[in-house]
Amino acid sequence: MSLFSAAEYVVVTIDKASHLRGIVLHRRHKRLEVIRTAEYSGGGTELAETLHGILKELEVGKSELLIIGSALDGGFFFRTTTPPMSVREMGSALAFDAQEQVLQLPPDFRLQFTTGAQTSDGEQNAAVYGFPAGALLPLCTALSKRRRRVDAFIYPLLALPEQVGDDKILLPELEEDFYWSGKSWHPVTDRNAEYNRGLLEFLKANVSFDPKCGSNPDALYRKFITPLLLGLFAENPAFRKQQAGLAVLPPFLRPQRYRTQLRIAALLGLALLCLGAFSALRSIVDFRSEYTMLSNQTAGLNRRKTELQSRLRRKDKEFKEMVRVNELNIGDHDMLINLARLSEAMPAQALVTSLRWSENAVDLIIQTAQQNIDMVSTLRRVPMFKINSFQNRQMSDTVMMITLKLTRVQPGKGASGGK
Amino acid sequence: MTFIIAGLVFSVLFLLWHLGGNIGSVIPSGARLEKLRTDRQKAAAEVAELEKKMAEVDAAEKTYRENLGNFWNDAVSGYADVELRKKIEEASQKAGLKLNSIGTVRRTRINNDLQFLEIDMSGVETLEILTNFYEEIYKLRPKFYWKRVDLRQENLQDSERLVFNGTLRLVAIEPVSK
Repeated sequence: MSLFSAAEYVVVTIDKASHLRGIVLHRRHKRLEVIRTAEYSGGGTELAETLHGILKELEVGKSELLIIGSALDGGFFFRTTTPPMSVREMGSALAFDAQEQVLQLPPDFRLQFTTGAQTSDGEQNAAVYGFPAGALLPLCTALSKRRRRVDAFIYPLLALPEQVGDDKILLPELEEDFYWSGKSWHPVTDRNAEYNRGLLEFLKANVSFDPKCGSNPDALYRKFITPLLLGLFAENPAFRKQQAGLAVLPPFLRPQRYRTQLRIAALLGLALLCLGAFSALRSIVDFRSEYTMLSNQTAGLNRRKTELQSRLRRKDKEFKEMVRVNELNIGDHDMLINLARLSEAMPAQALVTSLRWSENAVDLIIQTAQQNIDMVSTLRRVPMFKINSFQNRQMSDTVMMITLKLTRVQPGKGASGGK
Repeated sequence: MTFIIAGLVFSVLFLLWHLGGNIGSVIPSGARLEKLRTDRQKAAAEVAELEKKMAEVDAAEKTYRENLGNFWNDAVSGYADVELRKKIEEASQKAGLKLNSIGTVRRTRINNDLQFLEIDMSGVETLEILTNFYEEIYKLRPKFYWKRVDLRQENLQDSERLVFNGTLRLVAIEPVSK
């Protein structure tokens, strides 16, 4: 039985002749299903051995909930009503009530009880079983000997559903000569009378047998009527609330069940794992997304680079030739304009006797009668030209000859420049 | 169980194929991302540099195409050896200049597609008329460029005339031989 599978219940009943009947059942598709059955006859052997034997036959481990049902020597059972109160108070109240219900009480007795529905006057139905304090000792000894823990010891009639309260209940684990009906015991006068009819119908409506348990279900219901009754009672969600009133076994014989806590812990662990996995997954997705984006961008850029390099390689020779043509110094288209600028800048006292206009320079020979003429500063105003060389020579007492060369500031840009 | 194991193997193979055999690319790594960012940055810088060079090439090509329109094209302007002389003569007539000589058109190859056209001329006239002539030349299309202009005073006493020698130059598109 795993942590999250349906809980399995094991019920073993012991009758007066030390005959043991046991079933293993679990909930399946909204119905309880008996999956294994076993019978074990004591035959003079110790209770510990027979108990061990039947549990072994039922393949019971420690994870199943184990219920033992039996009637104890000197035990007494009655039904009563009490005001609603806590389990401890109810125990005290029922012990007091037992003195009125039972004619002869043992000097030291223990009670176990279950509570039922509230009556119309606000009181609560209660089923009470009492037994002498030492009556449980053989069972406890047997359990201690086999180191077996039991979830609950239940007197079978405590598990009787209220809806079959008026039925004639004659169970093999109880008195052979008395049947229970209503709120009291009655002597069995007719062995052929129909007993347990309502209870069997109730059990058949709620429990089924696995086919491998036997081919005659009706016989199985009759044979295992008490274990079925106890199993159905223990499987009921209300059983947990009844456990405090049923606890008669010493604590060391009762197992500590952490099934719910373990389930919660497992679920929390699973939730943490899921959270971690989700976080890791998100991190991976984010990383992968950015990684892919960067990879694609880099690949795209590399493709573009290769394409551009290829185009540039193809056009390299053509580009150089085009640049060479674009920068060709064809000549001076604007010679007339430049000549006008030069004329405008030329002082009135200067007579240009020779002008040689070439691609990169203008050579001028100038005659002047003015001795202190400053040709350098005058011609510096002419845009796009700078004085490359300047030479003046006295021709006579009054005439001076100036030879100068102007070069272009910006080298010709050929066709595009259009000087 | 066999189905599950087969499914597992298939999933692993699919993942390996999907990731191009590089399972490490799934495992987050800041260093790998940083390296990728650096690679992308480097590639982007290289592409920007190449784009700049490409823009220069495109600009040069655009300028070249624009210039082609300013070059002499026999198919558009007529046979250069004849038309150049004719245009110069017309310009000189308009300016009132009587040129002493107009040379023949010289051709110098620039490349397979282009060639220089050069033509010499000379004359003697006043600066005013010569200036008119230069203006007429300036108006001509395609553009005419002065390669050389020499002006000097005539050696006659009290002469206002100038001795002019000049060379005009154009770029011509190589005629396509049929």
